[in-house]
Amino acid sequence: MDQHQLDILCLRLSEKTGLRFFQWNLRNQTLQGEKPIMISFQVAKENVELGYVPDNEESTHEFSVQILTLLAEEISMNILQSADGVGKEKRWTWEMMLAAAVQGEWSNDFFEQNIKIHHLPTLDNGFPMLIRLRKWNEEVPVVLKNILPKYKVFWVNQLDIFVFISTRSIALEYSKPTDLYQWCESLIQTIHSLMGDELGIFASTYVGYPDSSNIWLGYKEVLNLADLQPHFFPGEVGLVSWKLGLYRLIENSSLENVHRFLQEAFNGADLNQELLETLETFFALNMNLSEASRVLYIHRNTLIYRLDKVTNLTGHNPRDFKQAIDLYLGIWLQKTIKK
Amino acid sequence: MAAITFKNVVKKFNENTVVHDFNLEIQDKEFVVFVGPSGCGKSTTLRMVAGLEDITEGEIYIGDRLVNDLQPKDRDIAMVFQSYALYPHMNVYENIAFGLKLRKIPKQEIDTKVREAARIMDIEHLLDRKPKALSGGQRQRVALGRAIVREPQVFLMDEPLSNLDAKLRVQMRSEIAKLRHRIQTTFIYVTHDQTEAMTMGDRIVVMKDGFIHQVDTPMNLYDHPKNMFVAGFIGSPSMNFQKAKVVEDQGHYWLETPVFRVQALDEQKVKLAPYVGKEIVLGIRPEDIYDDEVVTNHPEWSFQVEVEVVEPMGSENYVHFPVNGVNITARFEATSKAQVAKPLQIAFDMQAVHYFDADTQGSLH
Repeated sequence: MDQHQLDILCLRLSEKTGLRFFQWNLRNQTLQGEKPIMISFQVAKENVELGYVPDNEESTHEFSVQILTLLAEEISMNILQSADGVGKEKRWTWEMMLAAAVQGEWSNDFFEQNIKIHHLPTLDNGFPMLIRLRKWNEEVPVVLKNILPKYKVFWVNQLDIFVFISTRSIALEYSKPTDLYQWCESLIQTIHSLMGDELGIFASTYVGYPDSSNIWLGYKEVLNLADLQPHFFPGEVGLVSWKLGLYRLIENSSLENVHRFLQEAFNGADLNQELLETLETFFALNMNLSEASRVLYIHRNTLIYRLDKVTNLTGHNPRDFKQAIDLYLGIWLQKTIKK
Repeated sequence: MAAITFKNVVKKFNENTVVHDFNLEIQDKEFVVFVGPSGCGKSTTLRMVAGLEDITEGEIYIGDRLVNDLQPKDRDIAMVFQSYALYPHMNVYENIAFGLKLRKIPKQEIDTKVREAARIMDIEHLLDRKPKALSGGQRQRVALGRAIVREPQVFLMDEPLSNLDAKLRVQMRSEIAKLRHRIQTTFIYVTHDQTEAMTMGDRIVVMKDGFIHQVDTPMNLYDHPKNMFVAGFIGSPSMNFQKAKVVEDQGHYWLETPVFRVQALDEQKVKLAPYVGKEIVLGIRPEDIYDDEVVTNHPEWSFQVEVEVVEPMGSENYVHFPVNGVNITARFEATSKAQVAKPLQIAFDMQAVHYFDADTQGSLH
């Protein structure tokens, strides 16, 4: 790496992170009184050492240093491969997002404007994953690194950690594609357990569908999962995109549409608590009259009477499968709206 | 080792209260099981002890220390989760040692503790293996080893056996029971499985919808459930319920339904007296229904049913039949003559029946 490339690297790193980067071996009197942090890495078998002046305690943290090292590596590779890194129109690549993330300066608008249209050709296919912590502890990166030793891509934004899990790196261990999905599901429990057990930190994990074409969409997807989970899956410690089920259908429905559906499903009737409980139990037991009457401690005929009452009130017969679907969805939507 | 005290503990998520006014004293070295259906607040309560969840209101003490604002690492607890999570690239030794390393324990001390924990859990021969090379049961033992090695004052276990198959679950149940006797410390164990609760706990806390329904020893819960929920939740197969009217006839009280009329014991008259002419709920466990000589000895407890299903279990038969449109399960001797679609004379053991208020669902005392 020649002097010009090193200068460009320092410039770009400084630009992207807001930190003052310099060549370690050229540090001079301007650093008097300041404690620089060193990062070292290899580029094309050549050792590069850079220093930077931290702007706060966070940017001196081991985890931040690791991220900055990764960032420097990526940028330097880019500079080496194409000498036109500077002076041309900004080409947003994932390392820039990483840099922005380190600084915590992102916003929806920022990404929408700058990133969403750009593909990431050098990134493997992989699962976007968000780990949301209730607290931070300096040991978090150590524990996480040991849970996911092969995955180096971390973005940290306060208590959210974004991990991009390359499928190529796990594919060797898992022969079938479905295994990959199962592995991701099991990660939710693993991360929760180990973070809880080692550090006493509550961690929830969200995993999206694997997609390399737009990492921003992947990030948005897992953020969305993190918003949905406490409302719709309150007992869980995470969520994967492929388990959203019915929630995916209503996710993008307008409230107006939902209310219209409710009006149709119940025919404007306001079912009392007893009838709602009866319906819920009946549906939960696969529309089995004997089982439902047993669980409700009522006579079978009483159950039939109540179900007939629902039919009269709503115009939908709960014992008819097609009509029962409307009632089932209606009850579920009512609860969902309340939540 | 330490006692744990909950004083008026409340947990809210936004406006939603998931644990209501939780009060409990757990004695030092006691094994207490929190049991209840999904969403009852048992895991949330455990997490509040661990410090994973903040306490909205109330106080939790471990020993004499108020732990509400104490960092989880300073609470001297160890937690075992259902996923028996281990670090994939570390061998068993490293997995057990890792938590101690994080706590900056000297290397020699770590080695001694790891080997001792491995000896207790009988996994000394597995110390060099990676998790991938372990069976489910072995992994769970390592997870327990990771907890033991810290020598905590309190063990917290959150459904630690739910991911194991039925056979292994039974085996691990006794492992945990043995472990408890070896290390003599306080345990809180969360499960939704009433069999686990009954077999492991000194005391059981039955929860539903964030409320404690009853705290008692396993046998007291079984014999004296406070309400229909506890009665139905504890015991397998679960208790059968029938709505019945209390009627007085020739000096005796009878429980009357369209299908049967059985005589209550005279000593039960006091608690049934306020309900004469009213409907109550009669609860009877499957093991308290008979099709043998009890029928002939007690015609006043007997009536005829038509058998729907017979499930031979080897040592006994589970026999199902409808009564008043509700399915009733009975547990008969393997020699039972019950046959599908045939009438059968059965008797409720009225000494063992439970009575509940039809409105409040509370037990009649």
